[in-house]
Amino acid sequence: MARVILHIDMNAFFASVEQVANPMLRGKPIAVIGAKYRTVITTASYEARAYGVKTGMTVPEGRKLCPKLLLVVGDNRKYTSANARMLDVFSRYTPLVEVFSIDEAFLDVTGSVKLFGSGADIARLIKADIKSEIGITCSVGVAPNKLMAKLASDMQKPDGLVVIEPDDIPKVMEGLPVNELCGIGPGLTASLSAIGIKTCGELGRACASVLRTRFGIIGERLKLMGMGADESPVTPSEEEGEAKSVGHSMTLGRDTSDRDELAMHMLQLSEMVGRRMRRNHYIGSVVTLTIRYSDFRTFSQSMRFKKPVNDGLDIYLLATEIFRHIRLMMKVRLVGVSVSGLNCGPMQVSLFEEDRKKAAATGAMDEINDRYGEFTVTWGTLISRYRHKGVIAPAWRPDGSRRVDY
Amino acid sequence: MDINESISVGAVFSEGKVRPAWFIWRGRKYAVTEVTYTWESSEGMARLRHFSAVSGANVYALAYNTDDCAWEIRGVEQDWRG
Repeated sequence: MARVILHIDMNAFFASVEQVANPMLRGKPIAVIGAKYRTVITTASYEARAYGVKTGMTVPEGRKLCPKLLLVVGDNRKYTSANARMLDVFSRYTPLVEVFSIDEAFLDVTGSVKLFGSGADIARLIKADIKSEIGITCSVGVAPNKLMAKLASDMQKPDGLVVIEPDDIPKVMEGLPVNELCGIGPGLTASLSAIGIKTCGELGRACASVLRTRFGIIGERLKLMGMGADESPVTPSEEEGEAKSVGHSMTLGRDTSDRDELAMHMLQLSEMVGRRMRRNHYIGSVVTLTIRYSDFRTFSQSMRFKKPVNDGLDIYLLATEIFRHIRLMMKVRLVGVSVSGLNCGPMQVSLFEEDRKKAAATGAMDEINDRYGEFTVTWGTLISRYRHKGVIAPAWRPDGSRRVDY
Repeated sequence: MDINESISVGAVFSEGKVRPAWFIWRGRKYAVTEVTYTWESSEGMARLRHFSAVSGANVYALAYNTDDCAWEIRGVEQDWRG
């Protein structure tokens, strides 16, 4: 029996939520931005998209296309709360929900068809629930697998519902450009084009051994993708594997080359990373510092601990050790700190009293911050920390180690 | 405009939900004509319920702390249509 998979994609999610919350924004071209003094658009409303305004544009670029563009500083708590309500709706129809990002999810409703009707019927029910309970629209793709469901939801926006039946797949794929498929980016598209493959139909008919030679282990998967085949299951977040790293980054309020200021941001990020590691019982052995210059050039450098840690100060000290060896070429726009080489489990109890005292102090701080909120007790240096709202990372998940509270 | 001020609120608690009906801010009483959006967040163990509340031509961001039953006004969006 063919599976019935839904891909649900909220339409212009952040902008739609803002338009529901504020009636003055409805029907107007708006752009949600990450911070008041930063100029990159994170989401544009459909009214703004009609002028050509897109995610990733700077505000001046957006305003050039749409002089009446209204700017709204995003509030991530609104969006994560809306995501929780979305998941509540989905859970009424199936327990098999895979959160793909803050505004996208896959649902396996194969086992729900007898209860609620066909995949299209379930999609209509979910669309109606989302509209009445959250006030926003979504596009739904219904297909026998995740790859085709994602493709289907992209075919009709906003407020779309597209069903791809198993028998329709060869016809849909035949003339479809390969870059329309989720997972085939510009680099892979160019590489496929170089060997004469431009459409999914051509990809599906390509010789598997040629693809394997050219692209390695993903070669056969590419052929299957070209044929519209995808056996990957819908994996609820509680079944996802362990995290490979824990990290935070922040785009600064203004570009700077002041090393003291950058060190303060690293301390804040290190504390956030340490908190999240301890909450999820991780210890890690490699710290990576990421710097993005004002011209968007980005680089990362890593260093290994002698023993695994999860304390913010330890992470910070290694991050600053990395930073000490970096000669800044220009002002910095973004700083990131992450820890990898993770292991799950308790820290080894130190033989030294000083270490035990430090661990006890960290535990006490955690208890206070759990009770009263992040940074209630923290380093004096961080009193003047940058209270940025941040941007929700694509890897964000509503629970587990990838959950970040905003 | 971001604000963080304590306010007095008249609210209706019904069927497990809370809805602000009016609030007093800086000595003036505002009647809430519509709650356009609600969302939740947490600060430590305290749960906060946020409301986008319309009064007159403006939209006010109100927050109810379920831990200490306190209300705050967090922001106001003023009508720019004139």
